[in-house]
Amino acid sequence: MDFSLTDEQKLLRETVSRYVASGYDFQAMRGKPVDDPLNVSQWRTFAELGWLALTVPEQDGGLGASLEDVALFFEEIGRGLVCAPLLSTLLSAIIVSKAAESPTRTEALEALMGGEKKIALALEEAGSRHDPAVLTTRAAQNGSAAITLNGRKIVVQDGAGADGFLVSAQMPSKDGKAGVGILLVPANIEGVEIRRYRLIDGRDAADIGFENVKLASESLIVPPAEGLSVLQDTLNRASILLAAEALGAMEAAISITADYLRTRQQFRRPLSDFQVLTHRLSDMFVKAEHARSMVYRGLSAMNGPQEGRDKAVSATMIAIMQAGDFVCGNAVQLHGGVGMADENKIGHFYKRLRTIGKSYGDFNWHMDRYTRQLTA
Amino acid sequence: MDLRFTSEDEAFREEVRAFVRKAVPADMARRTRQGLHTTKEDLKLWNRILYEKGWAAPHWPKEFGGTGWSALQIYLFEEECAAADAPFLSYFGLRLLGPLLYTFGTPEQQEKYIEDILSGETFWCQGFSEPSAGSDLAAVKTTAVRDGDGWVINGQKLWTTEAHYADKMFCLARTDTTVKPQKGGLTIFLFDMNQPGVTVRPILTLDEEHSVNEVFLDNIRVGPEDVLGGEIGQGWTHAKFLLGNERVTNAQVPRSKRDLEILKKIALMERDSDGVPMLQKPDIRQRIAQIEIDLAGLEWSVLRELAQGHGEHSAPIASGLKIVGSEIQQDIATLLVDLLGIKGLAVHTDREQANDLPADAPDYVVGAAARQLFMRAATIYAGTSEIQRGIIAKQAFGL
Repeated sequence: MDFSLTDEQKLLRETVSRYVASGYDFQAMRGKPVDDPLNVSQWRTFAELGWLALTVPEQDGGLGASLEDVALFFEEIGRGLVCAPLLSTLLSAIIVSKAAESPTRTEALEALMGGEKKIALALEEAGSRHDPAVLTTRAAQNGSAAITLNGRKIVVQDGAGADGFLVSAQMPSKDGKAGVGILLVPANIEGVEIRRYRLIDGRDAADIGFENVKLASESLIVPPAEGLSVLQDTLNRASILLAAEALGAMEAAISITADYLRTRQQFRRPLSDFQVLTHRLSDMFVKAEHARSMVYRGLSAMNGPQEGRDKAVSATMIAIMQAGDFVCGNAVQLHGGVGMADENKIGHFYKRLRTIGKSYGDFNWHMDRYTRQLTA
Repeated sequence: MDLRFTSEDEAFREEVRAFVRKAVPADMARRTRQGLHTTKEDLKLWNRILYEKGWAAPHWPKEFGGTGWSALQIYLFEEECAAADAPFLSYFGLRLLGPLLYTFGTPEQQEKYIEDILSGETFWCQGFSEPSAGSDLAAVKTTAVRDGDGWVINGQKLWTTEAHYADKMFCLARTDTTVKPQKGGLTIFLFDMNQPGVTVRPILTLDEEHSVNEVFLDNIRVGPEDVLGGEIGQGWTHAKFLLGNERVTNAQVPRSKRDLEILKKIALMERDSDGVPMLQKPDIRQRIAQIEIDLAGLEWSVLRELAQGHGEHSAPIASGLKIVGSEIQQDIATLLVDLLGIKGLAVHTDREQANDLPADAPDYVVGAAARQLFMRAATIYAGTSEIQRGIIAKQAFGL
């Protein structure tokens, strides 16, 4: 076992921390529409830094980074509280790269890498509660002719500013068996109705209706026979990357809170003179270390046999949510009233952690998946 | 970055497993599973078995009788021992004094003591805590007063684990009251328990068992050869070294993994009023899942620490491991008693009776209540959780 970072991994982390240190301003970026000049230039920078090519395979001109590398990247994104549709983009590239060779695939990957287009994952439905197999959105295809899509997706993260969506839909496979296909749907075509709003962490989202949307057969990125396993794998990867981001956020919140305890004076003493406060900080440290270990454990499982992955990833996410609530909740608490001000950054670590705890599987979903696989 | 055990490590695990599973006598394994404090006879026998194999103290340097295994291999060894229901060897010689001796001891002391610690021939106890020196270890009042070329020790030690098993004590005493204890005022002495002036009185803990004692020291004479390291005033340095070593092993991951496996088997056998195995009940499954996840995180925290190799551990990390490890041991012991229902109230510490249980009292009830009660000590001994939090605040944040 070796937990040390390679030189390449160190370099990748440094590019993110340098970007954040060079004046990244969370308060300026949160809630900004995607076509705001600040957002446009930030996204262009991300493309130039190569970040948007991380998950694109090397033979397609990308970096083909390992899941560990991408997790380290997201840890730094979390530490810097960078507010951008990075996860949707990098996950979309993973899914699109699974498609058979076609102009649609090539164009989509190049547009993702180059930062010209953003694609969001439209998976959740009102009744799905994170289960990718539970969906009412349907796609029908007559032979190899056009596909017709009908249905409705909710809380599509980064969906308000996306140029297209990867949509999961019930779809019979060629041999007539039930399956789940994944389709690439442009945002601006007829029959796509988008209701845009913001999430608590300053990012955007959308509910999206599809009414008799006509798509070319090339839009079918993952065929029905493979869709579910691709989605399950994608959700596990999403969870691990969010866990890594949460870890970075927790460690940043702890560091900011430690500084606050050193400097804030009450009763003519620094807060760090009060043992009840420093001990709380120590507990936050212990929880964050637990979270770090569980991120490594989850990454290790994702490199191991298929059958162990779901349970291990759920264990990681349960640990992350519990640690995240404790660490970021107490970061607000130890800041007192100051922590409640929306203009103070510390509360936004809490909001980001709350969002992560409901993305691609919430606590109950992960606990249910874990306990189902509990064996004596 | 490579987040897996190597194939050499896995092969090593198999080798250890093959030996250990055969080597643990069946009756000893049964007693270990019951969870009562290990008897001196079992400690000695298992120590002897490992000694003959050369595996009594794998964590020691090779020249002193260690194995030369990597830190991760030692961990795998401990995990296999626990999984085979081997008892946990006596701590004080092998874990605490041994490393002190090979690090700071004089060549004569190493020659005199180390082999007998390895073989389990000599059992040691740790004379640190006192009535007025618990968490505040520097406040020890036991004195060693110069007398000719030696010293005379007087004082009282408290919570001395296994003093009733021990042949010898390593004892922290005040040798100079004119300087601060931390600045040269303390010294560790090594002496026989079996001599006039040493009185051991049992203290029964909440489990009604005898594992700790108070020890009265009345005019104990020691010579210059009994000063650890040969130099007076090094006591605080030695104590800090020892306490740092103690915290990482106190995560107790191999033991908790074994105990959790036992717990799950019991949860299959114990049933609710509808005849449903407790393991099938959603609330129980969630409590088990929570412990399993907490323990998995602890295990990987230990692995992260060990993968850096031997040597100095990070103090705040080690303190965190101790806090979490002790709480998990408490959680497992408590859930186990909860699974037993009202049977979990019975006291079964009489070892004769424990071997002759009625048919409706399964073997696994024997140590359950006692262990649950004793485990309250886990967050107190080896530095309370509050002391550990203080260490973290200071060492990780400078607060």
